[in-house]
Amino acid sequence: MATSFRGGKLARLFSGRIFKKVIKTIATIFIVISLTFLIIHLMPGNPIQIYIEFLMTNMYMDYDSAKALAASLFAIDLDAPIHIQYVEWLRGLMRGDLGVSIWATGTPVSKMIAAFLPWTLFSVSISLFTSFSVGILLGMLIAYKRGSVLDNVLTAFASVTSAIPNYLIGYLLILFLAVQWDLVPIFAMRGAMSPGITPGFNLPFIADIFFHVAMPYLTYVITTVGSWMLIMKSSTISTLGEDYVTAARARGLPDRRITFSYVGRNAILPLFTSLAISLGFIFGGSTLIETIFVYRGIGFLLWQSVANRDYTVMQGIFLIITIAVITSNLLADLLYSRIDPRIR
Amino acid sequence: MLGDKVVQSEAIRRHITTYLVTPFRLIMRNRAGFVGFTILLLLVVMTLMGPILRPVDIISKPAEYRFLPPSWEHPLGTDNLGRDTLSHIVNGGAVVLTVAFLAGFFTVLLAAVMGMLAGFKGGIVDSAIMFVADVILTIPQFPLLTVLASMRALRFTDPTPLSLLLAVLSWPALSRAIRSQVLSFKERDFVEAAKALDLGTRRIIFSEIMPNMMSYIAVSFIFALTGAVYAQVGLIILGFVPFEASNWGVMINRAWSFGTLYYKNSIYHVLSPIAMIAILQTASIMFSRSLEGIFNPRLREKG
Amino acid sequence: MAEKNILSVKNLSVEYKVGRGIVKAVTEVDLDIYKGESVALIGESGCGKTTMGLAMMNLVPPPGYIKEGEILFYGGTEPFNILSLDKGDLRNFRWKEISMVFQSALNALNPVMRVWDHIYDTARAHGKGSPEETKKRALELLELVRLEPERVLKAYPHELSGGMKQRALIAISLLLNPKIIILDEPTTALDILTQKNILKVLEDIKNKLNLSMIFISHDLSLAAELSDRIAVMYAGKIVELAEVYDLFYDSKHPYTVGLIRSVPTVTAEFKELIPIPGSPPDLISLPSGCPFHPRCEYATEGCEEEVPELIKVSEDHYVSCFRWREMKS
Repeated sequence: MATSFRGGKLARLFSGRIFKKVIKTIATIFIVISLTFLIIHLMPGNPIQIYIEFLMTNMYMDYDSAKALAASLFAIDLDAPIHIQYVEWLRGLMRGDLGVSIWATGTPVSKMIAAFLPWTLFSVSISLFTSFSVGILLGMLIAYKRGSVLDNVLTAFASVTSAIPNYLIGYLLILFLAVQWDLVPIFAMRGAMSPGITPGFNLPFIADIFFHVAMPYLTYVITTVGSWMLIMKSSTISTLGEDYVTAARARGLPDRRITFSYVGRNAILPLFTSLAISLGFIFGGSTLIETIFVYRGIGFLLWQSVANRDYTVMQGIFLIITIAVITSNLLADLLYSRIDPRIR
Repeated sequence: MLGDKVVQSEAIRRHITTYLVTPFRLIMRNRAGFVGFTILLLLVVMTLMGPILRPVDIISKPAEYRFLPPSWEHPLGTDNLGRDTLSHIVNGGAVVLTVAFLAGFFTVLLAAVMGMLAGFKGGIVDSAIMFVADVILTIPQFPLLTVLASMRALRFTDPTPLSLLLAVLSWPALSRAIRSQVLSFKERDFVEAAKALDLGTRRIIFSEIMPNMMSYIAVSFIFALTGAVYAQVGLIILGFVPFEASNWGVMINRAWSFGTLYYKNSIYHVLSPIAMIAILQTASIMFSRSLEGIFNPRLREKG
Repeated sequence: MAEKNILSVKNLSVEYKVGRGIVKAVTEVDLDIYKGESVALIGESGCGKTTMGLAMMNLVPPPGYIKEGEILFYGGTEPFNILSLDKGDLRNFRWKEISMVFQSALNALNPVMRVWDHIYDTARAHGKGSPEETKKRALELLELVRLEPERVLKAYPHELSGGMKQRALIAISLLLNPKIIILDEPTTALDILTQKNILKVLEDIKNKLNLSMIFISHDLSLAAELSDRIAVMYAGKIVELAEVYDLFYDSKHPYTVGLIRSVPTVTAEFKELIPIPGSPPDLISLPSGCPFHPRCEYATEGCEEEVPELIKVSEDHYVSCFRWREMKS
């Protein structure tokens, strides 16, 4: 039972759920970082070893030179004992030093990521925003019109689109919109923006970036709107059966008020727990979607770096994606606790 | 002596009814579930019989045979080397389905073991298992697989290690559900009664707890299956898993990486594996909907 | 002559259409509610009493529907049929003339809104006064039901106990000064001490305010404490309707007699409790003739063939039984 808490906001901040969640988040991030260290640096057949061997066999380096080069690229001191390596690694991360790219020689990993990450954030957020809003509105609509033609059609649509893998839907869009029906200039839409356009808050630029993000955006939205719709539909249906909805009608409240503040506000709550999962899924799927459409986001970079055996970049991206997902989980959680007074 | 035998055969009959007969009858009733089940069955049959009835066409033909539209001889047309697409399709599902089923099986096994351990033992075992589960849950699955695919130590050409890996990444979700079921059953009256009658823990698990959790387990098996299909085909498409050419995913990967995806004529060849995978996933989801009703009598549709 | 009635149910039948068939929840019921009186609708679960209450506000949820009958309300100049009000008028009518305190107070409040929000919503929906006036009135009402006004007003439902929620709901029901409030199982699902508190609150309201109260309950003792008249329902019909004293000491229906005999009393001598044999009928396939005859010790062949009408046996005492003359209490 929630009891009223005596003490200022600061005191409340440090006890209770929020604080615990933040701690747990930091702990998880820490573990992921450590695990990455373990895998990359210690496992047999790990990237550093492989790279050293590569340098020795293909570049005819001797072991020491190979080791030195590897050490500088991966931003670790291979001669130092393990725990020192670990600490140095952590320190480097704090500074934002993620090493240097193997393939794009000389470029710091953090710089590469900084160039690609914004596009992923852009495409993921507009897609999530669209599919969430459309999904909950349609979900509520078909809950009210249960059993109607609209309900059957939308539910079938939602079931199918959420079952088919998102990358396949991407391919289908290319196959039909571009290849078969010639509706979309798919080759011109590659990349995140066209060369020659100055970035900034001007119309040509904004139009351009939307032009390039259109196909990935369409794919994300089509593949995720269905599940939001279905979850919202079932949540609304069970909320409609609640006593407080009947009681609200008994009090003579207008339908609009009941729909939004009594049904909507309560039906939407379970969706926020799905929001976190959905974020992880979209970020994960970005690897495939961006690659298919050649959209220069972080997922595309990941694919490229794996194909090029660029281990330092791979490691950096993996960390960034994971930290991004973990942090957005935390944000979604905090958002939920703001919305549901029972949790506060 | 005879009495024991009678009781045993009674028990066997009861188990068969609960686990086989009744579910089957219920599958028949739920239209969507029945359709899903049938399609899945057909896919499995196709995968098993395919190689025998229509072996892989490996003969490259001259240019005029490339990307032909469907005909009697080639119901799904031909590929970029003039080979029969249908033969590739019926031969290409084996690995995909094998990995999917294995992954589903391992996931359920792992999740059940972990979930029950956590639920029954409680305390530090519980906290440890749940902590590991949470960490695995928060790490985005596909990027992790992508990174692991680059490591030499992990052989992705073999179905079994791949399935195991997928299972290791998928068990947390189901184990949570199993754990909470175990926890709630620990409190429930009929388990208390069974304990009071001193029926033994194993008996309790299998005859009381398991039947009630079957719905979770069955549905989660299907979800693990669809997740495994998503992951492996994704990896194949990105070129990280070098399976042989008849694999549905490989067909798509080749069309894309060779650029033949963009030819108008290749549509039948590219669409076939895409359709197969889409059908597999959709049928699985439809089937899982009916499973929810089967093992949980309260959810069954009335009359 | 001034109108005695505030509400008049005439030949009301309510049915629910379910997969198995049609549930006849209420069958051809007539009932008059007088101004300023308290009436209890008593019966076992599933006898149709809650449906009656909902029908009075035209709130019967689908798959339920009004099959026939009218419910006349005598509030304004002309009596009108509540069931034929159009949507807008019905919205205005609800809560202003009749309000309802729902069964299971546990869930009648929106979990994400405070008590004040519920009250303000209601006031706004009926175009009543400014926030300040509404707040003043809300605080008065909360005091009337013996709650801490300031605290409860800004509380969320999960911060209140069952009894507090129940009292808050009672307060909200009085917001627009209705002529009738319906209380559906006001004390069920509450512990004994809280029940006592609620009873005191309801007594207060009965004495201080001049409105009619309709109690729906299976609890005879509640009816005895608070109501002026009691209507006993069985299988969707009213089987006996009388003033409290008459009902308890001069019951004329075997079911009423059975009910009274099966309830333990604390103060009276210990007598053996005699439950009514059998169970309530399936409302989809009702027995022929009198619905109670399968369980009735006075039943004869005639009871199986004909449905007894509600007839007047004395001043304000009605019963529907062929053998009422033989009842001794």
